[in-house]
Amino acid sequence: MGPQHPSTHGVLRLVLKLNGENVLEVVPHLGYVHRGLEKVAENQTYLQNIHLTDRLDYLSSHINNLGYCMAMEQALEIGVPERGEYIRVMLSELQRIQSHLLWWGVSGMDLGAVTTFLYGFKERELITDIFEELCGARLTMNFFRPGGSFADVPDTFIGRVKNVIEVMKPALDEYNRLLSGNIIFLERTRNIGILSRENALSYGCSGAVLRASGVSYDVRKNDCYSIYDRFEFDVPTRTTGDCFDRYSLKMEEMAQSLRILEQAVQSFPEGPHRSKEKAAYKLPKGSYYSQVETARGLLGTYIVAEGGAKPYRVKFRSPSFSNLSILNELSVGHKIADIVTILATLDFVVPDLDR
Amino acid sequence: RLEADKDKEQEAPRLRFKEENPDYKPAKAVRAKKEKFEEVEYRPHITSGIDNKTIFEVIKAKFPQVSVFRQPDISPEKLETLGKEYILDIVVSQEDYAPLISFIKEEKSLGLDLLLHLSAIDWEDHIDVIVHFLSTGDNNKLFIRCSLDRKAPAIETISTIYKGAEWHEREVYDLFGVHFSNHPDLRRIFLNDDFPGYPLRKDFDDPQRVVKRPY
Amino acid sequence: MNTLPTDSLYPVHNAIGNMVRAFFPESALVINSLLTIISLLLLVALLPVFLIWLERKVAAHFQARLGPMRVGYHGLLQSTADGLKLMFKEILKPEGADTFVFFLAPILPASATFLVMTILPFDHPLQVADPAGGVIYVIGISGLSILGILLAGWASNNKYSLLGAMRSGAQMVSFEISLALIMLVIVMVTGTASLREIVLSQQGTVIDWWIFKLPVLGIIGFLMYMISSTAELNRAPFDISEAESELTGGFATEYSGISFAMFFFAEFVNMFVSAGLAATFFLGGFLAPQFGIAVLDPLLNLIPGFIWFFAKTFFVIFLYMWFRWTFPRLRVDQLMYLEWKMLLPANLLLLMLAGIFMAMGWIL
Repeated sequence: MGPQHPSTHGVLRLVLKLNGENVLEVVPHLGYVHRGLEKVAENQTYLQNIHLTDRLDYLSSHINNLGYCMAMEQALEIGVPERGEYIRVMLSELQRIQSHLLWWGVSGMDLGAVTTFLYGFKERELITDIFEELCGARLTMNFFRPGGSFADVPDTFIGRVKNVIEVMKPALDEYNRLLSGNIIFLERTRNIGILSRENALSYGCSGAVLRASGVSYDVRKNDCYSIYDRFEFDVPTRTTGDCFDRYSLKMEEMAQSLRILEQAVQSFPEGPHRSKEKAAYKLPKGSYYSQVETARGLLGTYIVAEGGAKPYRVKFRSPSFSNLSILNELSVGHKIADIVTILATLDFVVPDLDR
Repeated sequence: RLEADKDKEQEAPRLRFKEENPDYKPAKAVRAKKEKFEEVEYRPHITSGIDNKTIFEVIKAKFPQVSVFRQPDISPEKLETLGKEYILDIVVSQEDYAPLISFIKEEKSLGLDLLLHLSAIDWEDHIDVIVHFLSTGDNNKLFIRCSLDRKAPAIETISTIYKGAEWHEREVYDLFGVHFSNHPDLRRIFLNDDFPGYPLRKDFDDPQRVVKRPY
Repeated sequence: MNTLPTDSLYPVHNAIGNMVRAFFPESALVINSLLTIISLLLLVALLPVFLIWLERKVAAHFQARLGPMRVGYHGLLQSTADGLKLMFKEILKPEGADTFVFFLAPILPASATFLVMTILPFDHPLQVADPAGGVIYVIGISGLSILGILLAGWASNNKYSLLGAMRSGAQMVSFEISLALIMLVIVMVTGTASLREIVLSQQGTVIDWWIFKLPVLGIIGFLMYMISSTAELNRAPFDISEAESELTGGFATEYSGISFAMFFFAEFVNMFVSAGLAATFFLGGFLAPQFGIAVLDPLLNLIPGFIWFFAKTFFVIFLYMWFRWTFPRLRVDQLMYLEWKMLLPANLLLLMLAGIFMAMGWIL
């Protein structure tokens, strides 16, 4: 299955070893989108690197920015005001919903129900419009800075977020009615690609893949960052670890994100959106690590600083990289069409893979 | 020249505008107010979980030669002085590397079951292989380092202990040139097989590929 | 309305036919036959143009978008434009391909469809031929399209085309069996295999249509017919061979230009034919729905029969399109499982129950 392919989410090459219709081995070949972001980051100042993190996993660019800014704040001990924190949480959750909507649409399309692609994008446009009004970009936002965000949210922001919440709730019901109960869909996804708990932990999976196998680990709950400890939300888990579990988990995650958004909108404070800017961001000597929960899983940003204006080494621990390494293990014994299903539910984005 | 053309074109309309609106005065340019922000107190990010002292004691009991990175003589009690957010960063020698990691995997009291990643840092005279662990039950993290000789960096693989390390080690081999012995499938993962050199090393200065900035 | 002469094997007894018979009494048969064939060819040529436009519009409106809007009023000329483009494309032939078979293969599905269309009852006098074993004729000719697909896959000299063709062939052959059994149910309750007689046996009110006349089995039979014919047409949710993008384009990979267009058009006309057969068997063919309301029925009868036939056929086509854009796809082995382990026993059960219902006189 070559690099240009309607079913792989990006440019990924899979070499399959088949016996008729059954898969014996899958060897993924990565590197088609390798831009060497880690090397580029060594040549740019700290603030310039924020725009690099956008392009890691472009479907969760706000959350990637957040991870990097948190590492910088940890180093320079910069605080974030209340409104800044609320903006961060709300934008992260909006980004998560947007990414899951795209994932849902593309999953349906991979499995043959092409209409889901357009239905998912219909609601996604609402959120993308919010982002466009906010920072002018629909995909790579570059909005957060250490200490808060780059600009304040416009006056229409809260109104639009409320509209999104109102529209999404019945829309989620509609999506569940369309796919989740459909017998064909269930037949295609049940008992396909079962991931055991030990394998999930050993391979380093995170996000929905890990939670579907029974491990309840969500960075927002377990390793609480920003002000997530003030919001009430559940972290759903499943036990079997097959494709349908991952799918239903992500649908529930969307509902939980809506819950967080509702609570945040109710208590959105006034105030400054960022703390005092520094003249130059020179991180002191040492190494700093921060974790965030992107729509794909656990993104870790590890900065090794040597006191200059540029970092010495930046390492992005990307969730898709670890999630994809289980592909061979999951797809052995299934048919070719099941690989498409497994790829869809693993929910990876190839630039995140290749960095 | 384009400006001159435009002036010529616009001369008549501009004259007409002046005649029609004799009282028009252009607005004064105002400088945009630069916003002033307050300093905000930093809230340290404290993770729950087993504290560093316990982890260090457990590991030091089995492997006495390990030490904390850049704090060679620190004792377990003094680890709190390193900061509330400090994640334990242990340096281990090459011989103890694999035994330590299998110890970490098996030791249930530490609970470190998820391999976050395995990467490398190129200091000018040696290469450090770093391994990061996470505990999904207890939410604590542990970082392990091992120094390797720069000319022929080679170390044991841990893909038999943590299976996810397979791809991470391939990435380190691809970008740094560290050779992992007993690795099931050690080949380049991102770059094509005949790529010259190892990009993330500090002495990789191919002018076509690396853009050096003047600042 | 059953006042037709007994030589109703070629019942072209409408105004034009009678006029020709008046002017050319000796060669009337030949001229009438030529006229019918030409008009049918025109229909077969124009139908895919319209149907492709309809498919794109229906798909678009399901997906909350508009579809082709620019070429002609609301995109009506879009498929004409596409057809013209396809005609001007270069006709490639791969190197190792068997020339005769390669160019024969697209003709077979198209001709099979055309042949079945000749016996579709469009209206009382508008049926080209009405053999007494019409149903058996239909089942027999459908095999020709399967042959076309298999030959296309073989002659392409491409292992992926061959795999795709084998898959489609297996799928179509399996679901033919289900189709035949359902048609057999209808033949059994009707007592005749001639398509016109089947339509005429549904005279009366709406309740007399076979979908309602057989108490519960009619609806079940209709549903099974829909499933089997969707699979027979290689349409979603059973389109594993054409839309599954892992094996390139399936059996028609190596075709381009007009040969590809023929496959494409044959599929759409086949859809029309299947829908027409569904209308004939279950929905009353060209009969107007009579509700037993005194004022309404004569008005409904005024509308000519072929309008009703087309209306019912397009309703069934709309159902086909609705299925395509709603459901995800079935895997190949799940498809085969559906046919052999679920549909076939169900069809046999249906047959048995229909026989019992007939014997007990439970037909309404």
